[in-house]
Amino acid sequence: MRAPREIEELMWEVAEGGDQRTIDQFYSRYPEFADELEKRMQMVKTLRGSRPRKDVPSFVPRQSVRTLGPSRLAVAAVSLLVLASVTYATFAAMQFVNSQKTVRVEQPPEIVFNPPKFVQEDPRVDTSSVVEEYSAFQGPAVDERPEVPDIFMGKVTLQAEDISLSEAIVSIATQAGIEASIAPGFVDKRIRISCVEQPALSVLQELGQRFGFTAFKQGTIQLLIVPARSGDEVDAAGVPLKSNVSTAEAGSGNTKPKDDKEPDNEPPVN
Amino acid sequence: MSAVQETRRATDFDEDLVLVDRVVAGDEFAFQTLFHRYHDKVFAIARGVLLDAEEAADAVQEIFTLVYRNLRKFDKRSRFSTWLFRVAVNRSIQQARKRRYTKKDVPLELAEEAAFEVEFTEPGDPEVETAMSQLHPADRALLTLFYWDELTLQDIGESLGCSSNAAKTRLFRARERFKQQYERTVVE
Repeated sequence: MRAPREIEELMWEVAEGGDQRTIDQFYSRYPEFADELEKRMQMVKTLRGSRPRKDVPSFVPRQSVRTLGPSRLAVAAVSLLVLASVTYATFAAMQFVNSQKTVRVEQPPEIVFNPPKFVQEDPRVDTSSVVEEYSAFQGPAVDERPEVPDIFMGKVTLQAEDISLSEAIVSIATQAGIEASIAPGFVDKRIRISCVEQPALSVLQELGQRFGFTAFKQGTIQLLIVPARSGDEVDAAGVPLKSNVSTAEAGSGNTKPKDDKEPDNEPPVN
Repeated sequence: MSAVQETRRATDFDEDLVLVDRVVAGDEFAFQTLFHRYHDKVFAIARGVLLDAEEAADAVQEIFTLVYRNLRKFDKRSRFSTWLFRVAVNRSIQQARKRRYTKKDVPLELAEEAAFEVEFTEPGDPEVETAMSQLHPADRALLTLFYWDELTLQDIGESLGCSSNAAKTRLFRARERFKQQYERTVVE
């Protein structure tokens, strides 16, 4: 049976005091702890009796005394090392955390690279828009060559009361940027012409039908005027069915109106 | 001034301080007197903590050397014996801790010779020795101060740097631990 702490402290005091009267009082009051008190009394007696005895030598001061604990220099060095390690570890941890923040990519961005297609540039074609498109490296791919404007369809305006046919052809061609060549045998004549913002090729073809020549496209910018005229075109109606050009031989007083509802009155053109 | 106060002042007067002053003034014979006066108590502390007579004798010389060299630093706010016992306890515990991690390899013949020498010079109770060896050096120091040097709880507290109540509590626990080890040793 373990005694309460108060009883244990009391037993130690009684055992260490060694007073017989006090011991007897304890026995009478706590008979259940008599054995425990006996043990403590025996223990204290044995412990005190084992006190070491030694003859007193003479005191001779030591030249040096051993250093049992770590020296102050060693403590300082170790402290410095630990501090440096902690600092480096903190720095490395911060670097790691920062790198995780910046490098983390949830999903790599899809990069579409459309290599620019080689386009043989036409010196007369404005390709700035195409270049811009290629420089972006994105967007819809350019699958076909950009449409080059047909200069033969360029709008021309010519109004003259008395002008030679050849001058009219050259003037129309020059306005549209066409290099017109007139073949030998071309019969020139004075004509009156009035056309406003009409396609150049249409005007020239109409003139050819009316005044006996044929306009042949030669390449992209060249036009050949041949003084031969297909019989079908000449003999069928004499003039195109639909005309926006008013022409007539100068001095004849006969003017072909724009309205194509009067083809029957149009005189045949030589 | 009352007679009671005069008596108390006379009781509190530390005669050792006179010897300390003489040592500081250059009287080495005065320190020999202090050495003879406290040798047994300091040796008991060292022996109780270190559990080895030769090592304790060596420690006693080192403890008194330390005290002798640092006597000028003694501020006299406590009694000389209290300061001396504190140095002895701390030095012995330090040495015991260091020895625990640096056990020496001793040839068998030398070990037997040393055991015979200890037995010859110290016929102490082997069961007490065994039980003490199972305790922490601080517990051994407490038991040594109380049972061998017969210091009061007040003196023990001052020597260990704690209050008398704390010394009483620590002493109670040390006694209980010693009792457990002692009874176990006796049964075996």
